[in-house]
Amino acid sequence: MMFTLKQFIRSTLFRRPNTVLYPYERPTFPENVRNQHEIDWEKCIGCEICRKVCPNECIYFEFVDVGADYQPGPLRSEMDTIKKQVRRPAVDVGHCLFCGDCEEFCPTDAYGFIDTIELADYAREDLYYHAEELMKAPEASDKEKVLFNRLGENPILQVDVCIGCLRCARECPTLCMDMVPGPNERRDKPVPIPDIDYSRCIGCAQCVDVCPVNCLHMEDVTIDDAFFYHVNPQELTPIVSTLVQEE
Amino acid sequence: MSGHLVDLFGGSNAIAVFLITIINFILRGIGSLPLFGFLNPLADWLGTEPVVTSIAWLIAITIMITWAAALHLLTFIWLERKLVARLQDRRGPMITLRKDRYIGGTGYLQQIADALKLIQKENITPKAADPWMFHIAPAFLISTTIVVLVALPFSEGFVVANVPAGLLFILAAFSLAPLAILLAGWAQNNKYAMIGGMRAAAMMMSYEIPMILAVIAVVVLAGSLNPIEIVNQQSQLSILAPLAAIGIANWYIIPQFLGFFIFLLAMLAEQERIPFDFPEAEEEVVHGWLVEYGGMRFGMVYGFKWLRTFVAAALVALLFLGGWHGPVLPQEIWFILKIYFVFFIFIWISWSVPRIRIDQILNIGWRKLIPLGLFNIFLAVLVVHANAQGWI
Amino acid sequence: MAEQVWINMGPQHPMTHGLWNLRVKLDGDTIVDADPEMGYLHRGVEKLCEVRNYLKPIVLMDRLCYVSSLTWAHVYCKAVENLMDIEPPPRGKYLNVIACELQRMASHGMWLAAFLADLGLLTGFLYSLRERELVLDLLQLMTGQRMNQNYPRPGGVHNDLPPGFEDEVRRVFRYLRRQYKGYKKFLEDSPTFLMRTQGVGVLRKEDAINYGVTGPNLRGSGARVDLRELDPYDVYDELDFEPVVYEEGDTYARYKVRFGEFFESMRIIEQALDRLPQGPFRIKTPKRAEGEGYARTEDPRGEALIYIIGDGSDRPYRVKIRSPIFVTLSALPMMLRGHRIADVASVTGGIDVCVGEIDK
Repeated sequence: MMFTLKQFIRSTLFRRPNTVLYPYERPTFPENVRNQHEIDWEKCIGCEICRKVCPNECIYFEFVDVGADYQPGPLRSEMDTIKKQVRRPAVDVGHCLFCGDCEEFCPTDAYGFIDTIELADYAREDLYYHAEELMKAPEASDKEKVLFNRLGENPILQVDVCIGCLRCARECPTLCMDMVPGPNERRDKPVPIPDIDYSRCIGCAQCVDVCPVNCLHMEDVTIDDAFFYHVNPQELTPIVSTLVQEE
Repeated sequence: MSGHLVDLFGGSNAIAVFLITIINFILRGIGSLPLFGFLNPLADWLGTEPVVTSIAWLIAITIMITWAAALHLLTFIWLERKLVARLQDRRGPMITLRKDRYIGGTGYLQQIADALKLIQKENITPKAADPWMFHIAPAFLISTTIVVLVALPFSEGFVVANVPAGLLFILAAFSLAPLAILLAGWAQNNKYAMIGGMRAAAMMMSYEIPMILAVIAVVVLAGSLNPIEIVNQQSQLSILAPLAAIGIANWYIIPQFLGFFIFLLAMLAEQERIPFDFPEAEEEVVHGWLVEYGGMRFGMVYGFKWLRTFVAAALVALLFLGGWHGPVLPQEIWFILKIYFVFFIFIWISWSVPRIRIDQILNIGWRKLIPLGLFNIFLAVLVVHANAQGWI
Repeated sequence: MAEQVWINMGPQHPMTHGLWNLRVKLDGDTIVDADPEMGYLHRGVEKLCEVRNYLKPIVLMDRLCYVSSLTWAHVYCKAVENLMDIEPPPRGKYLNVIACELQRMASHGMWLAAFLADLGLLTGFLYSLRERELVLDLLQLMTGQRMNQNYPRPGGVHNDLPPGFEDEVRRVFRYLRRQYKGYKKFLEDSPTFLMRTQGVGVLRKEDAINYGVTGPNLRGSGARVDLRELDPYDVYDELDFEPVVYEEGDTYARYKVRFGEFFESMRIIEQALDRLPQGPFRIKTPKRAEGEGYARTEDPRGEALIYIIGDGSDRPYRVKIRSPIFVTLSALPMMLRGHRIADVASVTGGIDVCVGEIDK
């Protein structure tokens, strides 16, 4: 009983109580905390890896029409260049688990999380955050170009099946496929097959998804472990409650 | 020793006389008109002594209930919330009215906000309940405690009725609550409520005996059942004379520490505070006998707890802490300070210990407190005898 | 009341800590029989795992037991590692140990809070949650989230330690050691606390073993069974620690076991931080696997076991979860019989029920 009396005296006379007045005082978070998504359009290439690794499948890709002189960020692929559009992720926060897998596997480090924690809304539709709502301000981006194959997979071509339809080359978000004349011939002309630049491949399997004849499949590759993870520890912000600091 | 600020009955009498004078003036004014002459005898009757006294009584009771049940009840609930919050390293209620920016606040209006919310709620009567008993029990509970206030003095003047056997009346009224709780528990026709009501009855019966025993010891020392007399005795009895110089000397807590302890425990039990709150233990029987109450009926049975706390704290201060005696300050202020001090002790004890099981509680009540209470009476008799013989 | 009545303590009852129903048969105030009913929170985690590739069920395992999420993700990752026959790098193992022990502290903090609230000591509830908040802050610093961390991975962990983490841990632990010593004194000096816990819900050693009770509940009955010591996984064989064992088998012994584990966990974490090797903390895992793998670890609640069959695709063919409290609840009627209804809260609070894990 003396323990509680001591606590009473301490929290009444010598310091403020431990709790915070939440809407008026806000908690602080370390840099690596995962709250609301923020996508750097300068870096995002629309590869749809985040959609594929999302455990809850709550990331959707939206087509955003842009003009020919679109500046922030690269166009996704040849296909999108033709159509003057970019594909950018939109997140259904109502289903999101905030697991951070999208950030972990993003090949260009375009994903980030900001401190906004008040995500509750009145209608379920309002929880669907469109691509523009999640865009990071272009001037806030560091515009550092990185490209990692974090899935550790590369597409392998079965040459004899390929019909040379060019879809994979047009879909490839990193433009790592060039169509070259293949060994097979159709009407006395060589069937074009994709020549894949594996140094630029990010293993997103978009080519596999669009292939009409299933001539591509993904295979594990050995990659440098150093590039495998990327969730770097950030600068430490003081988060452990004021309780300890005062002791 | 300082005097008392309020002469409740005298004040009420003055108010009554004042009101009746105004009414009589109007009545006689109208009565001077033709055809309204029959009002003059009414005015005469209003001016007679019994009518004035009756009206003064009503005014005094109203003032007392407003004072205790409105002012102190709200303050008690607020204070409990704040003090418990500090005990638990929290802040308690801070903001009642929503603002965009925090501009300070203590959350005192929280009780009123709670009451407003509860009043808006539907009054649900369970299908299987006995509606009459179910609805009458909260009123019964509240009224038994409010009745106590009639005889409870706050100073020599601040008392509605200076009853010769006031203590007996207070304890009798205070002990009626278990009946209402049992009624409430039974009427709800709910297994949890039934268990809760039975537990309340069992506990209160076993704790009223030690409480009465502790009071008997005080009565033996004071030689009176009048609360005012008991308080006055505490400034006169010449035990431990050196301490009399600092003004707290003759409080019955010094010769009667055991009795104080027993009475404090019994009072905790009477309020159903935490070590003894198993009639409404949330983790065991959900909310015990409160389980089916909703809306303002719940608010009544919930607020009644603090009214009982108020009365219990007042009784402890009255019987053991010298009532309103103290230097410099007026009597009422001393008494209120003591009440709040006892209230803090209640809060401190009840939020520092876990709940005890029913068999253990009954064991403590019957096997420990009752023998101790009897021994305590023996001590009191010894003190009185020693005092009479001039041994001390 | 001469006749015996059944009382439902649940599914919406303040005692239950979640959705489950304990039906007790009362004779007056004494419990004659008890019958736990589970299944209100069944989410089909095992089945959900079968339609996801090997990486995605980690978040499901996080949500298996919402009080101790990281340890479940850890045991799943260990099972996947065994299935894929890979060995995480040493730094990854150490980081897993640190994270799991922090989670154990947080889980025991939540247990202490709920247990004291069950006994009616709401002050203890808030004190315990206050200290748990510090542990959660450390977990947040380490993993990015306070709860449902998604931190362990097959072949290592999600991210490395942030700079300054070690100092932060030592600072917090100095504070926690002092605070918990205070709580120990506060509780064990309190006669009412002893009255409510001593001799309540006695589980003898033989009964505990026969019912399959594991973890702190078993150690509270006097059996020195700690998988960290008996079947060391990760790097527990390199660390110096002592399983906390008490003989009595009542709620008080289980309380003492868990309270002792606070201090043991702090010791383990400090040792692990001292010996933390440099190097990679994660290796890449293959996507597909065939065969079977299982792992069992010492969850804060007992022995957590996950068994996975892979059929060569990128998804598990079958995942089996053995949750410790589901097994422990079978011993509950035996522990409750003959006690008062008020002891239900003490006993169920003492065995640390987590419904998410029971119902899977």
